[in-house]
Amino acid sequence: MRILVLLSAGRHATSGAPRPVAVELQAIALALALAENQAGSVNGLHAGMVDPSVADALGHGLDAITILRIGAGDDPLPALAAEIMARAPDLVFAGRRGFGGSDSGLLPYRLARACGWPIAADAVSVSLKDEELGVIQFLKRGRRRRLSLTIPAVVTVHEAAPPARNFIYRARLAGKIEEKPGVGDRGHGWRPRFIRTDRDRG
Amino acid sequence: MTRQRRDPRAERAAATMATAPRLRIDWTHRSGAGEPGASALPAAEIAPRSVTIADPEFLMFVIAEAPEGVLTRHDRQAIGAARLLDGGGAGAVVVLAAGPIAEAGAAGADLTMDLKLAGHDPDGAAMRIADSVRLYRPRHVLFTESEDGGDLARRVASLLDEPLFDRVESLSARRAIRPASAGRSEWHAAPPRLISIAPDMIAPYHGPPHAVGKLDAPEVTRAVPGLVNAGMISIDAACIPLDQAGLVLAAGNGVVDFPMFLRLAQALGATPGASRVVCDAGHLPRAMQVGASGTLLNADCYIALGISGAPQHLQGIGSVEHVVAVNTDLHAAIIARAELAIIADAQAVMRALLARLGAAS
Repeated sequence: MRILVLLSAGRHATSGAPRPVAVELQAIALALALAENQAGSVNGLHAGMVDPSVADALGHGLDAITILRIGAGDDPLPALAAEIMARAPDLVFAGRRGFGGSDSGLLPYRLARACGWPIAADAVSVSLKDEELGVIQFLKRGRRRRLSLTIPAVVTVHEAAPPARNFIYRARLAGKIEEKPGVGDRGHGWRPRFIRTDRDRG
Repeated sequence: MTRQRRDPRAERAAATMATAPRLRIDWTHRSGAGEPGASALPAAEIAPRSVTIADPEFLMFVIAEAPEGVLTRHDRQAIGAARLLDGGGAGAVVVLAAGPIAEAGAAGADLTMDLKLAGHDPDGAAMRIADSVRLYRPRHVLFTESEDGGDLARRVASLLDEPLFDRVESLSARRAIRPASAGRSEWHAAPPRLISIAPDMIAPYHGPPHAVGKLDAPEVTRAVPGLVNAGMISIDAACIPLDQAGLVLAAGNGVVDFPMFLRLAQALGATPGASRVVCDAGHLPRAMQVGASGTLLNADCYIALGISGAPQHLQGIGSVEHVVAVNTDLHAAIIARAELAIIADAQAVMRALLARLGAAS
């Protein structure tokens, strides 16, 4: 059981200081609870610039985070989709919405479509039985809906999920951050062809 | 022009609604009797004429949740938002829902589209909506930013591969505004194609009703993978936190039989609440208290049994949609707040309701 949790660069609502997105920390706690039942692993994944808010997620229970370096204005979807298809996790968790960027909550849906996986929104509880993922979805008026999906799948987590794990400074220091360049999606630029010589003609 | 002299005796006689069992005079003339000039217009001229947009220049889609065919408050707000973008009656508003919907014209819709969906199938709904967007090419598609509405909006946006301008808080024909960056900044743009409307930010349509036609949904072309199974979880209404409850039954000083009150709440499927007096006396726990020093409700319906309606209690039910009051005192403040008031003893009403519910089940 391998789970990836998508992390985004969060900001404090008043001061604008970097801080992890609360609902993503809840997603980590939900993923860890599921992975402990299934003897699996949970890793973080972030596409963008290296941000202190992302590294702080290590203190909330993650062992390792992969950061895919892309430009500040680049679309993170190609980098994330390529990395997820390469690592082939069983589940991808995300917060229902970021807190500090565009905050539209659209990326998990685009990612699910790019991977061809089903997506369940607003989870407050997850369970796994025989390759079938049971998700309890938050609805207003105190109602809950039970969904069931095949894995691999993308699950977004709601604020009403169980609280995040406490921050542990030692775990923050011990956690590993792997940085690598991500697949960027930029406008194609013109490049000159090389000049063929006799040697190339063979 | 000479003014007629007032005849106070005749006015008093016209305003007298009843003399037995006691004198009742209604000076507000709300019942229609009284001033002879007030009801001179024939009924047909008073009734608002319906608006018809015969040859629309463009279409706007509103995706309504409409559970059981009834538009929610949020759905009406989304239709109101679409009417802001119609360019002075040039565009037609199409309401898309899972089944047929009632009273769409009064809410401001010109056309309805029945997507013929059964059960909870967000993938199928999104594919159906994306197909109809490709077919009819509406200028705007408006969603409600609720749990299910927001989910559907993002599924459609990813299917169409278009950006979604979500949680729009302010909308005009020229500009849409949404919060971003943890609420520290906002994005301004000309209204884009896919928009989702934040709850209680844009007023519903209050103009004359529109004539409603029908638009055909595109044929289903392919089956969709995705969710295997979905079903609601039955939750005991008594376990729902008061601020999230949809239907609240509250007991006040007029209630004596609290076991019967709790049985009635269970039979109605309502979350029990209480006034401060009842909680102070220890009849019901403090967590059930409704009002300024208890919980502020967001319910759709509130049933007050034997509650007089102190100002602090009325603050607690300020955002409740419908209030039903049962009280022996006609002049209690809660009667003025309520849409339906029953002037009777709470015990008798509770017994009657329990008997009726017991007979139904």
